[in-house]
Amino acid sequence: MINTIGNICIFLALASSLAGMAFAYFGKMAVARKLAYTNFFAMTVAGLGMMVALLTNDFSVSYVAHVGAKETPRFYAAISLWSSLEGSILLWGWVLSGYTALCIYRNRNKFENLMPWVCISLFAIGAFFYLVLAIPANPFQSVYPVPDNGPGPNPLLQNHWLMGLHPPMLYLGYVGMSVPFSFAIASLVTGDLSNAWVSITRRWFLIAWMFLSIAIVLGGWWSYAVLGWGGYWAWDPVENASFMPWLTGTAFLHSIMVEERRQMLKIWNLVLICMTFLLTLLGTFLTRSGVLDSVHSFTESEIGLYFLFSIGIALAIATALLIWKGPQFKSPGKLDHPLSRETAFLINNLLFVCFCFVVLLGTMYPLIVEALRGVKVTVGAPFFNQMVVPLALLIILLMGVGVALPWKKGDPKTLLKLLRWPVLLMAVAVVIAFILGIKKPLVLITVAFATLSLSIMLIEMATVFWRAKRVFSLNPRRYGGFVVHIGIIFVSIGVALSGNYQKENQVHLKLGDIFEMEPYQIKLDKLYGDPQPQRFEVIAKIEVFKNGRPLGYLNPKLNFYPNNREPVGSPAVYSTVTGDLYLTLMAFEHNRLEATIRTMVTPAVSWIWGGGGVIVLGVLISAGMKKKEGEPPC
Amino acid sequence: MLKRWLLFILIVAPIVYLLAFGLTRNPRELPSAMVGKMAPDFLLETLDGKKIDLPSLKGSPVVINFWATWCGPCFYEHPVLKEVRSIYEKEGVKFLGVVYQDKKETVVQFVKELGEPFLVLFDPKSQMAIDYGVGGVPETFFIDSKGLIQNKFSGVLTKEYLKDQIEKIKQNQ
Repeated sequence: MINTIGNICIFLALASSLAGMAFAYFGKMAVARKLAYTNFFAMTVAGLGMMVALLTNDFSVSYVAHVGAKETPRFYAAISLWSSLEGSILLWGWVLSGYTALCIYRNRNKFENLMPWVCISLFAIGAFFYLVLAIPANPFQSVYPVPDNGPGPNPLLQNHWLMGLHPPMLYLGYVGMSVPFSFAIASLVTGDLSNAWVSITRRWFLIAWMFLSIAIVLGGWWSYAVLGWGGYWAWDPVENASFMPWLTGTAFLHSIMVEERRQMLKIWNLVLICMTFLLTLLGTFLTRSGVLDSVHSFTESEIGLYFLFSIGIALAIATALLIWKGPQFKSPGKLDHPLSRETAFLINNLLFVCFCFVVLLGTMYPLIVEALRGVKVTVGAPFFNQMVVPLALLIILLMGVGVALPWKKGDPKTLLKLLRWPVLLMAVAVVIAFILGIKKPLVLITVAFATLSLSIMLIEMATVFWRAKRVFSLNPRRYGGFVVHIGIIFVSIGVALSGNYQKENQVHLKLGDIFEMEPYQIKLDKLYGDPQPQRFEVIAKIEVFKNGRPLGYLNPKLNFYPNNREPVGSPAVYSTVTGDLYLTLMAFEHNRLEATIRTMVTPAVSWIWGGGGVIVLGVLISAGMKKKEGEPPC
Repeated sequence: MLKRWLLFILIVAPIVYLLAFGLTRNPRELPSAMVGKMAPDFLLETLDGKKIDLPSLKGSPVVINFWATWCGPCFYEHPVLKEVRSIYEKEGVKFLGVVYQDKKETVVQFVKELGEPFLVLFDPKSQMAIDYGVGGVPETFFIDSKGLIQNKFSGVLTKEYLKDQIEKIKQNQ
């Protein structure tokens, strides 16, 4: 039953997308709009249908037979919608149909010139996904004979509640980039690049960028909370694939302000939108085709060919339009003075694009070398760290100095006057950091630049508040942007400290043994087994003390799943603002008297997750708060 | 106009070529340190207790497949191995299947139900698997008649790949 409904819905979505393209092309926008709603309705029924099938263990549905199990807890059964290839493409298509309907609905009476091409572009992207769902990745195939039970989702994906959030956020970010891309294509085709276009594109872009930022931070958090290695970022190809569009997207969010204000960089902004969208497709390709080895690669399947085809077409169309139609947007504006906000934005763009290029090169290098020389190589974290740290430091510095510069022409004297207090605070912060034991030069430079930027922004916000008794409602875009910058500074400090000052030990403890790890002491209290419906857990109950004061218990586990040869660990974390104590159960004796525990004390990890929250807050202020009439953009 | 076309091709062609090339390779395939070296010797027992060692096979090309009954992918390559064996065995190619971390009774049952695509050998303490640097199953080694390991493949064999590799070790006589 669900199979039939699901298949009908997918074909309906495919048919409505193709028809929508045709109607939009012939200017029948009212029909195209209804087809977009039909499309969303069909995908919603398909998506909910699959959730029902997963929750009711309907093993006649191929996807449920592939990832379901009667023993899987209900929450993980529902979210296993995105635990494997076909389900994740279904969610992808569902989100895209939602974006398409919302974009067409919100702009139903606007952009008469642009909307037909926006529709065509969105429907075309949708048609591709629905085609993939209909043929190579159909989750609604019938299984006969119907199995009694299934293997359950990948154990790593049923181990933490964050799995319920990270993938949907990523899809909202990735798929959300389809909307600005469609606006870019429409403007290239029609030659319409008005201020209204800039405003609408920026807003859609900002929302997608926010979801992508959340997804990246949550992905790091998940990796930290589940994988047991005590880290959150490994420069894994698919992590990089989500980071690259974030980098080009961040560049765009800055350079679009130059276009708004000075009518410059129009073609460049279109290039950045297209690059961002194509990089999200590349990310999908890498995740779903198994081209590069990664913890995220689901499978090697024929779906790779479909994605290759789609990237090829999108790349060819975007490149052709930019080359042939882009020059119509050449702008006469030029930089007035090197000391200006425009220059700061240009340097910002240069840094972000270089950053993206380094990540792209490191990610694709194994493929490039193998294609050219037939040799297998791997690119590890040291390459990335060495290359990107200087770029990241300059970006942190620019976050503060850039916002302090005025448009058109800055005055060195005024700037120096403005920087007096921030420079003083920077010096104080470096001295305090040094006294607290931070001796590594790169970390000290991070602290210095972060303090400088932070104080420039906080001083301006404090001054504005002192004069006007309000800050955000005065200029939500500027001060929302400041909040995003502050979030990024938190993340940077978290990354610098946790990446450089992690202390790690592996100890073999008997029951009652105490291990000292400044400032914590841990005591192995109990080692026991706990059978759960879907797995068997071996739990080490560990009492934790800080400087002799009891804090409570941490329970790192090893989980044994019936369909997995290796146990999957669940680390236990005691998290504070200053740092985390992270315990992983590595091994245990079957007499239940001894266990091997890996302990890590990592400073400032929670700053990264907190920084992610601050970024979201900043975007919400920037995109959501009402702007005062007549106020200039940023 | 020509300049624009050139720019278009310079941007699109290398990227599409690179990604298309990516689809043709297996990222999980790691070059084995054993390739190009003499195959380590072994002495293992067959299902009916007969002892087999490598020197007794010298002079014949040998295909050694490490497998287990608990390994899903091994199940899929079982018929491939059976079919290819029926072609090449009469040409002197030997097919050995070394059981990796498994119980004898389940293997006997498995072979009874699905047939024996190779001479099944038991490696009770995984000594041979360690000597050959096996990382997981299925893994297949292609050894020429001089006892040199010509190639190693991890994952499910396809008929074409298996035949191609056998032709290569046959040539090296």
